Amino acid sequence: MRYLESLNLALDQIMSDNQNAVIIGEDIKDPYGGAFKVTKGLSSKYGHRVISSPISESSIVGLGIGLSLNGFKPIVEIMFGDFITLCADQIINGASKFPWMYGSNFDLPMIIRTPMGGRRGYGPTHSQTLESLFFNIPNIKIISPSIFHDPGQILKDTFYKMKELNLFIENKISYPNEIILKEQVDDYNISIINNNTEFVTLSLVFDRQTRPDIVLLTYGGMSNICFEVARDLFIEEEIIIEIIIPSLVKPVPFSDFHESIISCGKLVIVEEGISICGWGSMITSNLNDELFDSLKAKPVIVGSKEFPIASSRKLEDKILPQKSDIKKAILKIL
Amino acid sequence: MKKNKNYILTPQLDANDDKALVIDINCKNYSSINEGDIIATIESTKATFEIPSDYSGFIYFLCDIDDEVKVGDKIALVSDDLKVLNQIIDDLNNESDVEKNDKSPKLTKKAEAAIKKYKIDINKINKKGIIKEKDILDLIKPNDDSYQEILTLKGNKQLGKDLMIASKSEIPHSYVEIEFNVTKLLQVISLLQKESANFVSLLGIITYATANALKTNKFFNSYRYNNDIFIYKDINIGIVISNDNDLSLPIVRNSDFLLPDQIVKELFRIRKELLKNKSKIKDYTDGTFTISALDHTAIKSFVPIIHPKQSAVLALPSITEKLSLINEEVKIEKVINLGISFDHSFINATMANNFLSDIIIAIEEFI
Amino acid sequence: MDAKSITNKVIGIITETFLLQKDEVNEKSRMGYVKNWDSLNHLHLIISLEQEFGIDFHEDEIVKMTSTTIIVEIISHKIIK
Repeated sequence: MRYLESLNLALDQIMSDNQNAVIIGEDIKDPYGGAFKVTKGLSSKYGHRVISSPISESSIVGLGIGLSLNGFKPIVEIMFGDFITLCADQIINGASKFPWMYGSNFDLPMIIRTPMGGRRGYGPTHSQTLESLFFNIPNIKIISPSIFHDPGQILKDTFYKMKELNLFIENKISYPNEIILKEQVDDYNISIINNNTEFVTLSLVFDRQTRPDIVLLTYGGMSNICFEVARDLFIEEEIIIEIIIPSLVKPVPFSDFHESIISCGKLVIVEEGISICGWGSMITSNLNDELFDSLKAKPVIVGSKEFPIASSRKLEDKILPQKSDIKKAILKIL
Repeated sequence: MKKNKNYILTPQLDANDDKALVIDINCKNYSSINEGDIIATIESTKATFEIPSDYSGFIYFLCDIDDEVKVGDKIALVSDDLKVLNQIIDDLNNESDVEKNDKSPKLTKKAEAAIKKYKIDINKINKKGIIKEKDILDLIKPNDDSYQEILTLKGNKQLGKDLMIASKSEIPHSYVEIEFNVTKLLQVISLLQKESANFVSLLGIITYATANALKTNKFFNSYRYNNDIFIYKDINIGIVISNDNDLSLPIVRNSDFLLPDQIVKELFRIRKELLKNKSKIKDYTDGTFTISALDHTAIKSFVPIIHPKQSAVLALPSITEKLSLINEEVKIEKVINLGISFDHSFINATMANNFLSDIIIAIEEFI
Repeated sequence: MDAKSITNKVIGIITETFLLQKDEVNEKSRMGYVKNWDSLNHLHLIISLEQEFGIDFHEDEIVKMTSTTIIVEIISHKIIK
């Protein structure tokens, strides 16, 4: 099943089981079914609960907040993650603050779904990875499933657990990919690290029998590339890389990867967003506080360069993190 | 050959579509194209798109007009070698789907190298997934049950093994020995030890004599590389001393300038540092000749292995007592079977005999 | 440490190094007369003496230390220093 289909089926099921679930977005009604087809078929089934909105991101998030305060469970689609900047005030000064400002007696359950990421040549305002803008905003969860998770299940988990605003970050290049749910494929093993918690963190390794040489920590769309890097380095050099992929991006589930980091002491963090003040920075700060003595080498963060993303694919590749950048970081540490 | 096998893939045209229709093919199969040439046109829900080739060479299409292709599908193959192109096409036609049905095991590069080195039959490998070097090595290791213990040579021991194997395979070894009567020498040494404060040893005297003999027997202070013989300027004698489980090879530099007692002191210095783990690497490198000293053992005769970048090694076994008839009297004489291994490609037995004789003469002159 | 105790210690170390009985070594013992005291094993004796007395012997001293008397003399000089 493809990533996109998994999400579509999950939305279908949510809408079917929850009469107070509402989907709001631009161009999401049939026959178009949304820019990336994630909502295809839903308006035909669920009629007025699928709302095609005007082109006003701030308003549709505001609408969602209002609906949430009135007992609905809205899922708002922002067509491209780049446009989330237009919702910043609603998110930061609205959804994040209202429950606290008004006595914490109520929840504000709401999902904002949006695809981030480049590698399509869509240009500087349609290719970004911007969830880092909200890393230090309280009372918001950020979730991002990879192709190794079941994105539909993660979306359902988010829906049923939400008490606050959840940013659900999808990745454009992942949409057409087949999701990989098998625990053991001939070549590699995927296991769940945190069986008892809400949002699954996965561990993927090419040789589970041997202690890993290094940990690669990533989430979302970069998991695909990290997988290829791990495979290549295993074949070329028999380097054993444990890839840890949380689905919960914020708050960071630090305890999920501490054990693996302690066992080998070496770490590369990979993110598609700009590495400065990004996800990797949050993690290295935590490691500094809690695992400093266990580190055998300085952790390296591989992310985008601090530059607008070019439309030309060749130039885009120089800005976004590539396989070669990750390999170089790993080999430098080892 | 991967260089000659380049596939052109269906690109992702826009956010929505993962399929497209081939509406035009712009060149014939087997025609020659250049990088950048437009080879086909495909159509998505929104627009048509011309596909340029990223490669130059001869092209063969893997799709037809009106075919629906998925993003990432191979639509054409380009090779700069027509023969290779035909071969690949034949292979593709013979097998329904080469990539999917490829049942040959996947290997890491180290595993590939191990298979080549140990000449393993790839079909014997019964493991799923990617095969590592360890999986190949496990096939050639004997069954652990029949052995009390398995030890692995590491570090200097492994290096020693490699050097010895190299020496034996590259240097044609030959060996001769002379019976050297040391009765008088030993009496002199014993006297000196008992009466004077000077430390005198058999090894010190033999090393001194060897250094002198090397001055006039230059071939023994050299090494051969292919057809060239390099004669060393200095005489640096390395002495193999076997001590319990360890071999050490201290080198007495410029031994031709030292007297026996100075040689002994130098040996003490180097060996002491070794025992205290403070050895300097220069004390163990640049040897030009070697003496293998087993005089403190019960070994009467042995054939040592020539060291790399040398052409000979002196064998110093232990003293043997033998009965001799001297002036109608039976006496016990002490002898050493002084031997030499040498590179027979340019040193002959006569030269070896002369060298050993010169050592004995030098000892007798010293006495 | 006085000469007598040094002598006793030295005798003890020689006995131990060359695996001898107590009465086989005394103040007059010297190399060539004592079993196992040969040029190869001499170095082991030196190392043991260095460890026991915490001093380092130069090779010029090592070649002279061929009797109990000389060993005690050399050690005494070094300790006083």
